[in-house]
Amino acid sequence: MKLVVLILASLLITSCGLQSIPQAVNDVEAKWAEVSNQYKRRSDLIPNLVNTVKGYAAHEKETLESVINARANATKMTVDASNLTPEKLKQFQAAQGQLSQALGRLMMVSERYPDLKASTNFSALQSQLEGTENRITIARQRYIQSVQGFNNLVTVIPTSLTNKWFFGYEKKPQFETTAAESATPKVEF
Amino acid sequence: MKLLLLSLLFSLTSLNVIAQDFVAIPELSSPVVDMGGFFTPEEKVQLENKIQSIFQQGLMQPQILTVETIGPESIEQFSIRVAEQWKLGGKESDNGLIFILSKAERKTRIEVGSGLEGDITDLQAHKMIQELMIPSFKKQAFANGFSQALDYSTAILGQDNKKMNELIQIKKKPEYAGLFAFVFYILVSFLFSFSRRKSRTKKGSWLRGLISAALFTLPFLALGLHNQIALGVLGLIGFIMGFFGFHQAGNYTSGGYHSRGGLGGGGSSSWGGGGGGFSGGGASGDW
Repeated sequence: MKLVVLILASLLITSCGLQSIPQAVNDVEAKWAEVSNQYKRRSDLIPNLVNTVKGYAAHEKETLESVINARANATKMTVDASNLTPEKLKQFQAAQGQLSQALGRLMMVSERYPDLKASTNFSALQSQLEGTENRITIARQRYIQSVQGFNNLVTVIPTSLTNKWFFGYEKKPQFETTAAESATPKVEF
Repeated sequence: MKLLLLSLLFSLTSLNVIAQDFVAIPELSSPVVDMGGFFTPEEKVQLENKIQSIFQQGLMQPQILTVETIGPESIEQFSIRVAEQWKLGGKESDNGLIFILSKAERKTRIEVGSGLEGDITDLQAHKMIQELMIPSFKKQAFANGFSQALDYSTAILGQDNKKMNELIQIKKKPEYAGLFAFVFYILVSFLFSFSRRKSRTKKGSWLRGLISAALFTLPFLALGLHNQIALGVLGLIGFIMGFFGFHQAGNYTSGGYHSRGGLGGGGSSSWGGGGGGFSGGGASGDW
């Protein structure tokens, strides 16, 4: 009898969230780090891009400056995985969204300069930018799935009870498609 | 309350429908999964052998997947779904490399495993697609396109710059190429000029002169030199050299592609993914 109780107890312990909740937290943090990483990667491409465009389209000052400013704003907003709150995430998204829009406009403007489009430098940067945008999309998808998993654990019984008694985690913030994002011109090459 | 439940039910079922619209990912039966029917049986075996050989050298785990259609998804969405399901590449090394080709949408993509991103960069993937794969695909030479891309990828990992340059020639500007040709011709002409021909008939000399003039000017014409004075001068030089017994060189041929035939790999007994991860690196293209 005691053995049965012991076995049942151990089964319950492993299935009730004592392991899975901290694991889920780690997973969310790792996925967030990846999102942050890929956005930074995009940010790093921009100075080169701006310089290349300047070489051919120097008088497109307004467009170039808006990209530079948007980038500066986005770089300031670094959100650590451990202090992810819904407000911070919204701000982060907004800053990156503005950068996306500025970039989109820059690429549209570049269409008007055949010499720029033909330059090997520019097409190299284009393919890098394309790759980075894809990585950002995938990193976000994985973060969203991770947060879904975590939020399920802390809101659905029985793991929610374990959370209540042992951990006290709140739901993690989720990416939401803002109006600005749906309006962003897709950066198509 | 009823309305809420009804709308929940509706949204759940419609989600299901959308998910079901996605194209089912085929089984990972071999290094070359040819649902789109692009290869002959011989080509398939050759490509499989090539991939097995690369895999057994421990370089990476390549994969070729062709499909009839990728359904409603973009090629990138489809590709990452394949990558996440098949998990090609090692768990620690993340060295999978997936080549995808779709028939209906005429899209192609190279999905690069996380571990290979430093070497097979987005730019390299883009180059492979634009310079090797799409030109071949347009000529219906599908197996050749993939074969060259595999060679190029292997060359990147082996840091074999010579092989890489063979496959994707660095485009020189016409002026430089013309200059190179000119210097080459001069050198070879002078070398040959010291051989004397036995017969030095007047008719023979004129003929030689004309031929030399033609040989001398033709390459420059081909490279886009339209300046008549320059062509005239070149023609004159060539004529003089030919007339007085200087021999012209044969033309030099630019290096051609040579694709390695399928190397004997191990038997394709079991083929599967090793748990490798992908983070979205690579490049796509339309063919």
